[in-house]
Amino acid sequence: MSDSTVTLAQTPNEASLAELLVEALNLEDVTASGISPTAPLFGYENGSLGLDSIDALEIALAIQRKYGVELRSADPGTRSAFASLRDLAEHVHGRLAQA
Amino acid sequence: MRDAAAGPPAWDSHRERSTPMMLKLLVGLTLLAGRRIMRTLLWPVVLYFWLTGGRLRAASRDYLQRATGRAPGRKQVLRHFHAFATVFIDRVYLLAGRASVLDITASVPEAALEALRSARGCLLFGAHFGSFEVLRVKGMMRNEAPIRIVLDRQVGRMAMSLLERLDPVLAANTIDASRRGPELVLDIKQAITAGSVVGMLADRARADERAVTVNFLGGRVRLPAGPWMMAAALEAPVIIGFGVYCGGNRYECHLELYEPRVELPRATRAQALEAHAQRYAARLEQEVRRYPYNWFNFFDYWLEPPGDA
Repeated sequence: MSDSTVTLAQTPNEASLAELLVEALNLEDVTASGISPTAPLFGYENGSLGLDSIDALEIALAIQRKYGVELRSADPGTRSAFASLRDLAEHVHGRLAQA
Repeated sequence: MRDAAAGPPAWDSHRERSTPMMLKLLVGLTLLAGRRIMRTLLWPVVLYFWLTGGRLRAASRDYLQRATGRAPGRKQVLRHFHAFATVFIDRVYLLAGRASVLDITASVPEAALEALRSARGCLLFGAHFGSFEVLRVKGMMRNEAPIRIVLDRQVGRMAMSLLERLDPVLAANTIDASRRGPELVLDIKQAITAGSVVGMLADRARADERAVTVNFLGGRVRLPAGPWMMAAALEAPVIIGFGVYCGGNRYECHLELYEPRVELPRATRAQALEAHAQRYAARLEQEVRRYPYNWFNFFDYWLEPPGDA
């Protein structure tokens, strides 16, 4: 799996969001530090975390609880925010900075 | 839990057997001719589908055998098709605001009423059984927030264009389930937060969807896990509903509070999920055995072929 996706180091924001993901989704075979920040969260391609829409809901609820940021379907940035850990961290902290 | 079990050919790969032209004609005629004439005119339509729809016929026979315990004859299959066609035209009347042509009675216990009218929102689980439309009409009358129906606009293109023609407001309030990404669940979450009743059908799982295998009418079937997982994540009350067609112009709405809160504890999540899906399947089975002609899943619904059950 790791040969197709280069695992880059996580920033502190990404690391804490990765913790949240593993906790919220109860991922058993994945550690927080093992999530590549650029790997796709959804879908079936190699290196993807393989999450589905129910996971998306759990993530959105966990983010809302921890950061107070509500991810809304009508926001144009929401779909791209769910692309990878990096995108999600940038989106959440971008929203926090605006608030 | 993540990977979908290899099931029978998915229902969503079937093409809908109607053309926009036919649909337009049928809707126009239904509204023009009135219900009694339409019910008679439906027989040639039913006969056409019976003659040409080998797979529909086979699915109906397999199902009726399981539901009634007897090998159905031609008459039972035709009656099954005619019930489906009747519920379809009645849907047209209901969407067009002509509920008065039907005699609809509703039994809604206080607990269910309270959840349906609460500003906290709730989930309403239906099935491809009887008429979801009568539930909507009878059960939601006094709710402030609009009801939001979750439906796959790609698969149900016909249903969608029917909705758009007859009830544009309801159509605009549907939540499109064809989107596989986060938008669908976020839409549902927002609708619940806004106090809406969010209706969805809980008896069909797509091939690529998380599913639970349960016992149903003596065989094994795949039910979607999503509705239960959503209920748990959103902490929303779950209402289950059956809009039963009782023959003639009579319908009965059975709406009940399933649980004020669905719990899926971390440690026993898979078992809890299966228990909920199984409990729902058992409840559905009760209704199906009482009103066998209300079942409208005309495809290979069971995981094992007929006769193996």
